[in-house]
Amino acid sequence: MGMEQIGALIGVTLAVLIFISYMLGDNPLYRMLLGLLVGAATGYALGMAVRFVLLPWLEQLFDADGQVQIYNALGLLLGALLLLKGIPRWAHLANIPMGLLLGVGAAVAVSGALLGTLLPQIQATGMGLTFRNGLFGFADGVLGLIGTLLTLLVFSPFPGRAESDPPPIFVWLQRAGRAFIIVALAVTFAGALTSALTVLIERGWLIKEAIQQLLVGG
Amino acid sequence: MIRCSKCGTLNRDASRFCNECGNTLQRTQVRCPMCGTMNPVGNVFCDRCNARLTPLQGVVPGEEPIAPSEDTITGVRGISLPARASTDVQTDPTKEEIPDWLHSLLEDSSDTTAQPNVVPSSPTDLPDWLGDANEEPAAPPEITLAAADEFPDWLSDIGSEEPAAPPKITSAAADEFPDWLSDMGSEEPAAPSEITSAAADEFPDWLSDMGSEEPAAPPEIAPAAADEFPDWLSDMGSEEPAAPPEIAPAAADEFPDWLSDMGSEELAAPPEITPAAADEFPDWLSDMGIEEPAVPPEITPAAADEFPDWLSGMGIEEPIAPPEAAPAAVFETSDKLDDWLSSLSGVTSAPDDTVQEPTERSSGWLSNLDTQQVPDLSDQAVEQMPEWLRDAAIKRRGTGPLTPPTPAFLADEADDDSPPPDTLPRKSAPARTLPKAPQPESTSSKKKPSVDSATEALPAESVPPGALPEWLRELTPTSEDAPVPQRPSVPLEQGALPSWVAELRPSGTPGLPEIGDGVPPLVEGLEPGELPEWVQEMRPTVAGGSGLSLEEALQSTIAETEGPLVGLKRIIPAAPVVDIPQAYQPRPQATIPESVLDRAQVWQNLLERPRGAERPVALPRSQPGWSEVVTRVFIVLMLMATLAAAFVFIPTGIGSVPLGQPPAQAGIPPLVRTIAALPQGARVVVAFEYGVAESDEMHPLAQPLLNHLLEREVQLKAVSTLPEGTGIAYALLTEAVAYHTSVTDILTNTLTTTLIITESLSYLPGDSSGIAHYLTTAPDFDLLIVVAARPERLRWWVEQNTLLNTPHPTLAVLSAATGPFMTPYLESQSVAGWLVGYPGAAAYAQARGIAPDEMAVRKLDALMLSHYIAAGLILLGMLYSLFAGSHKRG
Repeated sequence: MGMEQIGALIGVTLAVLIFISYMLGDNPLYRMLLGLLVGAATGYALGMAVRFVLLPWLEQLFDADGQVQIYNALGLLLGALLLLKGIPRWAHLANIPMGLLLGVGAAVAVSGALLGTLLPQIQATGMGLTFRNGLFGFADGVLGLIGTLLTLLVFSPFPGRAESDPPPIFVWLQRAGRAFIIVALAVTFAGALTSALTVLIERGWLIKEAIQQLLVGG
Repeated sequence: MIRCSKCGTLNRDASRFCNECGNTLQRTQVRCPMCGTMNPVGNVFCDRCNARLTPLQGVVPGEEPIAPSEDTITGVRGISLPARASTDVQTDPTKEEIPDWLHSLLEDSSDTTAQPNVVPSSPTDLPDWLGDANEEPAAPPEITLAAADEFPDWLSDIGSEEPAAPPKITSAAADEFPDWLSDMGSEEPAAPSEITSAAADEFPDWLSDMGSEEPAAPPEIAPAAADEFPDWLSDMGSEEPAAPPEIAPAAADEFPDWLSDMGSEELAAPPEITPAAADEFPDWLSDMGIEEPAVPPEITPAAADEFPDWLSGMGIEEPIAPPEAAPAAVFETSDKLDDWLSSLSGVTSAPDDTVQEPTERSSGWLSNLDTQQVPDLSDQAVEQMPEWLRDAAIKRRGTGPLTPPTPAFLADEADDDSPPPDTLPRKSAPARTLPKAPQPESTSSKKKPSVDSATEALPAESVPPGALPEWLRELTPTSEDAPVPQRPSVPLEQGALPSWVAELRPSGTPGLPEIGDGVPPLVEGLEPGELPEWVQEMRPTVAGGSGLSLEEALQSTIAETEGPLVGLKRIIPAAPVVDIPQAYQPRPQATIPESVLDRAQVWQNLLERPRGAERPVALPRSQPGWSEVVTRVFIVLMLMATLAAAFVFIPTGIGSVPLGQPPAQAGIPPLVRTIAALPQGARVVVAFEYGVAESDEMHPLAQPLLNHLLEREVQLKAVSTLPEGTGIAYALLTEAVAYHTSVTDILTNTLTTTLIITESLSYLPGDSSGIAHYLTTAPDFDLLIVVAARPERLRWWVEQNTLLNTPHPTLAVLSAATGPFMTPYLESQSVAGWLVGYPGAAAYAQARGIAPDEMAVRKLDALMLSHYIAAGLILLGMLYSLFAGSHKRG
């Protein structure tokens, strides 16, 4: 039996165990498998970080003349400061790189969300209210617009009135908005269910192939 | 431990008395009241916390010094009013009751047989400046130089050597006060200074004896000289309590009201000070004209400087408690005159607290300032007078008997016409009954000088003529024939209850138990008070302890034989426990929900748990119940059956054709067209944004795409923001290379292939920041394909690509769970083409014209069947919850 077969057998065994744990509930074998998965993923991620991030930075720290590259050194210094987060006495120094990370990340995310998501989708919603795609296209656009507004109305208080005393029409509009939310959540659930079933089918197919090989090919 | 000297029992170190026999122990240690540390007996301050162990009070003559005890409260002494004189007029005064200078006066006084009775004044009727002087046994105040000229030397020397208890009179106010008042400001009771022999001629005998250490009998006043001295001085030598002198109506007008009221039984308002006479007298005397005797005038800050501290202290609001009544004595006023003044006047205090009916306008000792007592102003007598009196005597010689002019402030307020200046004040206020005041426990005979000794201390003949200050001289009546009003010895009469007290009596309320027979009442004619209604309601219905009912106890004729209620009948015995009133209704408890109680209990447990306690034990793992296990097993069996049917039991022929056509997706044709339009050698970046858990689903989707790209002979660049993405990309590329022969032809060396693939891999840390950095710094490429199993991964790529306005198109390969979230991007043309899920991959292959193989078909069949099974189970569960839930609710 080659390594591939052994690997396949181990994989099948682990899959069956996890599958059985669904019926049996939490058990030590399931927790061992979870730990194995998390450990392997963490180790692999650490290896990748060292191979593709840390080593290139260290290699680029010194140029050909042996001069220190300040740009690369600054990056290593900030990374070293981040390690001080685990020491309570020096944890305040880790706030410097953390602030830099959060600030840059927020700037990139906000700008991307504004120009890459919000504006294009507003534009698309408006374009859907045209007859470019026919009557059904227009109806689709109107339905999308109404659904968007009603969904926003569910999470918005009625101006000028107390939350405990909304007007009757407002109550009905909120109910309609909740209906749209329910449909959206149902679609999301269907997609997640399909993904899960697909994973199950693939794994089942692999198990079948493995068993078939063991029984036939060895 | 301390051993008792009497019984030999060992007691604690801090014990003062033996626990067995009660004998006083010789303490060796003192317990600090603050920290409890044991200190030696001689310590004044604690060794540990520096708290004071010994009280700050002075040692009373005749008593042992107070040793520090556990219960000692240091530093603060309560202010107590002096008690009334002892009922026993025969008791000799002790030195600690009166200042020494007065005490000597009392001892040197002679018999007062010829002395008229002096009406004692109660401390409350006295002016404040006299009333306050009664609070402490005070020595005569010091006399400053400024005031020395005004007063005779014999008075000036009194108490000058040693400070007395009353505060000193400042120089600013010294001019306003007579010397004998100024002397009262000295801090310590001092023995009267000895009168030197050189000055002895100037002083009367009774004053001369003040310097002697031994108490001497007061010199008797000769009858001939008796008239020369005022009554208050004459009576100082009297032994027996004398009835208050009666002031003749004619003479009564001559006395100021406050003097008259001093002998009256009610609180008389101080006489008003006429403006004309106001200038003659200091403010403290002027204040005696206020109408409310109970409230002494407040000393303003401006005027505070004029008054010594002992006068300033007269601002106390509490009225002087009427002292205990002496049964033997009979007075006009029962609580008007302090002991030392009473002793001077030769009258004891009245036993009753009720103010007696005023008989005559008389102020006690001041009423004795009768014209009949005015000394002779003959030349011989004048020569015998002190220098300070000679001038006054000469001045008065032509006017007849020396009569002290009545100050204007003491003018009669009852009459409309201003009385003659040399008349005694007239009584003005009507009589009223004072409420019963609490009797101070400190009232004891030892602090009050006896009347006899007081009257004996200063016989009339011992008072030198003119030995009075001018203002007192003016008080004497002009008429020689004006008899001093005699205070009849009448028993105390019961006064009428004030209206406000009478109003408190509820109608029909039974009175207090009557005094038992055979036991003399404390005060004759004293009516029992009535309980207010709210107190009546609290009466118990059952007389606990005695077994009698309330009515029986009230009707009982058995008198109490012991205790403070001795002699009283109809006493309800004290119940062993506090009885609940009849009208008491317990308040209904509020209903507290169980959830609130549970939450409170949780908080209480958390608060009670001490710090550093054991760490909370991890909760036990929740194990599914048998019903849940059955449900799960059922679902698993259903799914396994579906898979088995799809994988195994479906015939091969049928399995070559999917049971159901994959749904058409609008993004698949553009996807195919875009890839087909790529030129050879085009640079394509493929982002593998999924992990190991999603690889089972994403591999079948990404692999046909990579095969298509390799067929186009493009340059692939695999990137990923996930660490495991590069590994997944490596595995896919390896399969794709092995699958596509053209790549294999070029890179026959496995190692080379590995290198190429490795160089084609890039890890982009920082999520969206890494993507932005890559898109900014990477060389231009022709196509971007994002293979993502999570919505946010695709969103990052699309947003950054749109933000940077890159010219290349973007294609998306998404999982079934990500597809619904990407619809807006798909609708907004941010993505050129896409495929979602396994059906999309099948449709993509079908769109390329590739026939699906058996594996793909069976997987599609299994997916379709599992969808049907899942939908059926969901519907079954929904129906069950509808019917079963309504049944439970119903």
